Amino acid sequence: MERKNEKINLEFTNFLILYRHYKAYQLPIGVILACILVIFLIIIPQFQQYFISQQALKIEVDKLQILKSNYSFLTNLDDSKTGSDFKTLSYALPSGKDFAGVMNAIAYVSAKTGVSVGDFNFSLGDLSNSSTMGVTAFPSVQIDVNLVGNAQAITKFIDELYKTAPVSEVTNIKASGNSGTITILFYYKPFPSQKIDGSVPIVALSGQEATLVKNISSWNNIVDQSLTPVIPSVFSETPVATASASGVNTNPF
Amino acid sequence: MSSINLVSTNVVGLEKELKRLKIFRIIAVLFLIIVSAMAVLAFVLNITLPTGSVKKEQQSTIVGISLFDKKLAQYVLLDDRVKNISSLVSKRKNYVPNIYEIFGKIPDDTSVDILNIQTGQLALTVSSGSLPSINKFIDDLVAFGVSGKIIKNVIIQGLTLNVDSGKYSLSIKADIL
Repeated sequence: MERKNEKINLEFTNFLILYRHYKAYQLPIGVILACILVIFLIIIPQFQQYFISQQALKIEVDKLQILKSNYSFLTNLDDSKTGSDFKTLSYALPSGKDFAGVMNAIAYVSAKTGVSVGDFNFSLGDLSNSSTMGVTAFPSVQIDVNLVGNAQAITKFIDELYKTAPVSEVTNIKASGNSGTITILFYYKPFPSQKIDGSVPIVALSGQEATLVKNISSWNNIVDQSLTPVIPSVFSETPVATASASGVNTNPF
Repeated sequence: MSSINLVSTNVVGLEKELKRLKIFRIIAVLFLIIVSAMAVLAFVLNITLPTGSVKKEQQSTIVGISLFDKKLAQYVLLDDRVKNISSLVSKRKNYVPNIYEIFGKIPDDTSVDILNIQTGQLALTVSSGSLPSINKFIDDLVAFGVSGKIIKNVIIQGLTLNVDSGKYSLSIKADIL
């Protein structure tokens, strides 16, 4: 027991000797260790935070640039021209089944080409609300029209139909002697249903697109339309616009 | 006579110790200075990022844009129509130019009796009292088929003579492009 106490006393004495010997080193070593801890625990995270904040700032600055350019674009946008172009294009590609437009187009082309229209047959497709349909595909109204005229006259009729609103496509042609039947698809497309966001970059129409708008303005059946499209309630959650021509009341069937 | 060492080895050891201690102290001070400078730098960098002012400017621009709500909506929808129409117009099949090309090769004394186009298949029947005219038309169709621009895979289905009318009737089939 005594021997054990002696050993402990000896070790404690050694420790005291070492402690006294290296006492002066404690402060500098402590400072160095504290500094290293501060570097790892505070300074490095702070610099990391800085780089993260810098990236976030870059995103925000880019967003601001988009907003500013959108603002500038909208400030310089000709309101009346946009309105008339929108109206024109809504005739060319209605947001719903535009039966009045279809009838007008056929009647107009018939009058212009002198090709008489006989019986015709509509294939209406799904009569449910067009806004529920997919927006990537192009829904259409199919119509089979009997025409009185030779192959040349029917070809002229088709040619003229391709320059007439609404946008159509002739898929089948059957001409024999002095009569024929063509199958026409009149396309329409619901307006996009996503919320319109001012922070999405607005891209001006390309030269090709501007030329297209100009060409469509000169199409048949554009100026003759007495029915005007309704601009959708734009900042609602589901801004769906429909041309009034496609409304129930104007449906001749 | 033995020499007396006046410089104690203990004193040399103490000097070394003091020197080492001095180095440690210098390193500690340097660490303190560097760490302080870095901390201040990181703090300054973090608080000088103009995130707040950018956000404020964004808000004011958004308010500005909201004044043009109707214009923006109209333009977005206009853009949507343009892109859709452009896609449709470029993708829809238009046989008319090709039909006109074929009609352009039909001689004056030849008439079109039947013209059928269904899923890209053209069936054409023409009639004429003149066999050379029919022959010329066949040559032109073959030329079209060879060039592969208007029609291809031209098949002559029949050449018949109607004795009563004295007219030759030519029926062809082809893929119209």
